[in-house]
Amino acid sequence: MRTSLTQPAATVLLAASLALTGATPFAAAAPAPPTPACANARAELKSIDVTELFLKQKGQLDLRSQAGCLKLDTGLELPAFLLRLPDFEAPYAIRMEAPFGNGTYLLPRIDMLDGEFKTLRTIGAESARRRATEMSLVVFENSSNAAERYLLIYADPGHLAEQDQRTISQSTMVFVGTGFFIAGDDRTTSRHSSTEGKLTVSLVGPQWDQAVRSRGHH
Amino acid sequence: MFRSTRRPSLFGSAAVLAVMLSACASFPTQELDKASNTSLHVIAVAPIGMPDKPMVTIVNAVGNSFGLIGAVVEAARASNASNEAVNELASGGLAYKAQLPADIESSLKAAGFEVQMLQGARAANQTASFLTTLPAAPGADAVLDLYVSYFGYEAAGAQSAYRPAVHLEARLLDAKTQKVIFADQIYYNNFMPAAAKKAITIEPDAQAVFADRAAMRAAPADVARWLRVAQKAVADGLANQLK
Repeated sequence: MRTSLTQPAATVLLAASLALTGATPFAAAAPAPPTPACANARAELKSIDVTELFLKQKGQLDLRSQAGCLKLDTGLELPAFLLRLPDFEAPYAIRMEAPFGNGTYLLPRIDMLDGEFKTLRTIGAESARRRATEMSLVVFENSSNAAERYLLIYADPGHLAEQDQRTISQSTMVFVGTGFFIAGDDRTTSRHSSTEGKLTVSLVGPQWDQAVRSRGHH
Repeated sequence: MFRSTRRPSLFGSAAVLAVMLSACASFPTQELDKASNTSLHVIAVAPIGMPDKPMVTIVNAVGNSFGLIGAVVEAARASNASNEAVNELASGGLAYKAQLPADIESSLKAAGFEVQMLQGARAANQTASFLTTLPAAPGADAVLDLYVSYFGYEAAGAQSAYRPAVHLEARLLDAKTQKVIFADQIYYNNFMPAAAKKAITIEPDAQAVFADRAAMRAAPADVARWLRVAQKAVADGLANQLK
């Protein structure tokens, strides 16, 4: 009886403490998809409508399984996404969040391109915010940026293999007899920046707020 | 014996978890659009909300697993440790309530802003929250509203090392429209990332570690020094978001 009462409670508390500490007890390794042929030019990449991506797919991208491949001028081949921007009507922001993975994380670089795929501005990884559970990067689109038609995103080549080490407080359950108590210790994790990773792209602005509310997500 | 401790331990744990989860409410992060705010040159800094005393927290204190009595024991430990930390900082020469505003001012100036440190005191019920009414700031382009939600040291558990932690909550408002043009959290040692997932996180210096409270008592100058480092890092982190 005591066991049946204690075990579910323990499971709930363990799950909650794992969620609080951000621990991932089971890491399933997905098989790597076949590598797509690498595009030599940006125009060869298949573009994704960023509005559709945000409103219909919750902005979720995987810079691995879904990505195209782009050959940079340096000869380096990297997974890349080409996002097609809406016509500029009013200022808005594009927020990109790259959650930390197991052992790796993505430090993105963004090139804003015109309709001819020429770079108008670049936002490098040094502009990314190192947040608790992700790297984030925001691009503001104002009237002065109305000529920007595409957003090209890939891992910043200048910041590959950078190390990130974090120490957090971790909850642990200590079982004593048929009861338990919550204790804690430090957990240090190290990651390095990779060419791959997941991304969530959000559009921020009044013109998107209403659409988001009507769809009832985000 | 067991029955008397098991139920309270569940309630105690649940209470701790509830408090931790309640802190998970997402902060409305808003980056500053510098291109739309090119006229931002003069920043007025409202009086900064600060804790009365430095905190010395054991995040997963065993006492919290043992019901009301355990929680009372832990609260007494934390209070005593906080009072000791007051003395340690005094011995170490850190007047943190004056130092943080000075650090904010110097970091903003280094980032190229003209800074007005507004005089006066923050309302007693708003030392741990944003202001409901902004102070007058004639001549300023924007008002910086800051409060410190954590200041002191933390240990993960009773047997864990203590590390400095300073958590700053910040928002910048247009002085004329009072519209929020920037809002973010800058946490030096974000020891519970699940409770502040969006906070800009600065890892503490690897040398800023005290094995236990006895080590802190024995080295008040170092206790003060690492908190000084943490304050400066947070001030620089804030200025970097605005420049």
